[in-house]
Amino acid sequence: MIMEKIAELFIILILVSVVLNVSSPFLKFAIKLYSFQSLMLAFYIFMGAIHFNSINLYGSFAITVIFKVILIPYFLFKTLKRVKMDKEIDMYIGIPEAVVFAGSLTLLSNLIAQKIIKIGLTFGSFVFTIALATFLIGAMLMITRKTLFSQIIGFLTIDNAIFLAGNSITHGMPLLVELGVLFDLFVSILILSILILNLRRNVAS
Amino acid sequence: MNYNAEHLALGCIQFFIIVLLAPFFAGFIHKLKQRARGQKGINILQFYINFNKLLKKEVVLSKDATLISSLAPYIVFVSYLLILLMLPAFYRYSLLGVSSDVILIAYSLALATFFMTLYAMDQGSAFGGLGASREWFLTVLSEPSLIFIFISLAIYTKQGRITDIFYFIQNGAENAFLSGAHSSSVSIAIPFLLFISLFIVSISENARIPIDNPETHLELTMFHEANILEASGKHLGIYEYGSYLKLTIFLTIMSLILFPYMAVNIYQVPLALTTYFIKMIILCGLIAGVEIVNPKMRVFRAPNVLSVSFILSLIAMILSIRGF
Repeated sequence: MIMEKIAELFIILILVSVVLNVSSPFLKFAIKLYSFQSLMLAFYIFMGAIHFNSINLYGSFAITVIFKVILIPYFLFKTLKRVKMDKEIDMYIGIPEAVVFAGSLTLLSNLIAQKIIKIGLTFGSFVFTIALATFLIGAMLMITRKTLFSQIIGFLTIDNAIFLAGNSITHGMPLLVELGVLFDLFVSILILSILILNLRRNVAS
Repeated sequence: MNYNAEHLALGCIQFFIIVLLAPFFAGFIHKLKQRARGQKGINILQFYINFNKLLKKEVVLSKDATLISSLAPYIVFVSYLLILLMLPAFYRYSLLGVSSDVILIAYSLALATFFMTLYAMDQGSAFGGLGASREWFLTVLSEPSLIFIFISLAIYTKQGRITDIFYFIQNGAENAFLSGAHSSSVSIAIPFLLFISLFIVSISENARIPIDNPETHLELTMFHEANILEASGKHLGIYEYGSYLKLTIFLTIMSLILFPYMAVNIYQVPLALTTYFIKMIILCGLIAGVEIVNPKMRVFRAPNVLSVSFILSLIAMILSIRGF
């Protein structure tokens, strides 16, 4: 009973960190928030692992911590240091507008989740609402920001949201699938960071 | 419900204790900040001494001042006292507990701000208008989140009065965590969101550091101080005491959201009072910590922070409507 409530708290913290991410233009803070968000996701998976006592979920917890909490933020920090950016200045809409827009996306995802539950698919509606909201806000982050770095953060947020939704629907995906997805993500981050560096070197002022 | 002599007596004691403790909490925050900067720090009772000194001095009003200027300090002070009469800080049956509607509390706060800004503009100084416009700039941004916080508390507990709201939360928590009964009416996530949201709002409403600096009289940083720049003597004393009361109101609501523990009879009062005091000291430390760590923010970055608080209270309201 109490475990369920604490799991809810972890999920809420994911949404809070995404909203904070929208509200702050600082890139270092954004990476730290991403790391925190992944840690909360990992804790949520860990709660599920204790509850269902499944080895797959324990493995999923371990690889989430290794890849998402440690390795990807480490590479992002390294790239950030090389390109010497600290603040996102190019945005299509201002920060307060974006934050209020994020709130309306949360409302929208709540409505959609309730419709889907009425159809009769059975999974955790709370988790699904938050996952959908995180997904939409991550997509908004990718659209409204202009530099590649913030778009990467938005992409990673979307990935976290899909992970969360996946874990809410199933009792953990097979370990091999998850490992493959994470490895893809990791490689794409590596490629993107190299891309940023090359762009900086060849094109940027 | 029927009030008997015990309820009245304990309600009065609760009211006087909170009112008398208010300058102590403000002084404690100030002292903590000064100690953290390596200064020796003021006497922890300094604000009582200041108040006493200011009460003895005469009031100087501008020749353009109207009746509003002589009434406004008292209206501000009384509206804060009214809220303190309603809050169940450590005893469940506060004196005005029957009429402690959450909307009334939000609007009493707004009434106080309204009369303070009227006072600022009434005396015809240039700083007054500046301070009033800045004060409303922040209040307009933090008002919706305050209303949403109160409404989501009301929806979450399905009660209208603030005493009933926190008693409901306390009961739910006791049932869920102490006796281990199956209770789906308790949530950790909603109070947590409300706490963060209320913390941001209270920093902005009480003119604390990331938004405003309560200590300086520098014209660039004055939000709250510019309003009461013209006040002198007794009026200034009352305004300053009013600001301590406002801080205490916000801290008390936060402490109740964080960990509601209210006495229902006379035997639980000492324990509840001690718990209340410890909670308040912890929250004072939290606010002092935020003030030490953060530099003062640009004025136009305040909407960023306050919009986050608004959205967090909105999310809390969505969650409490759908019944988690």
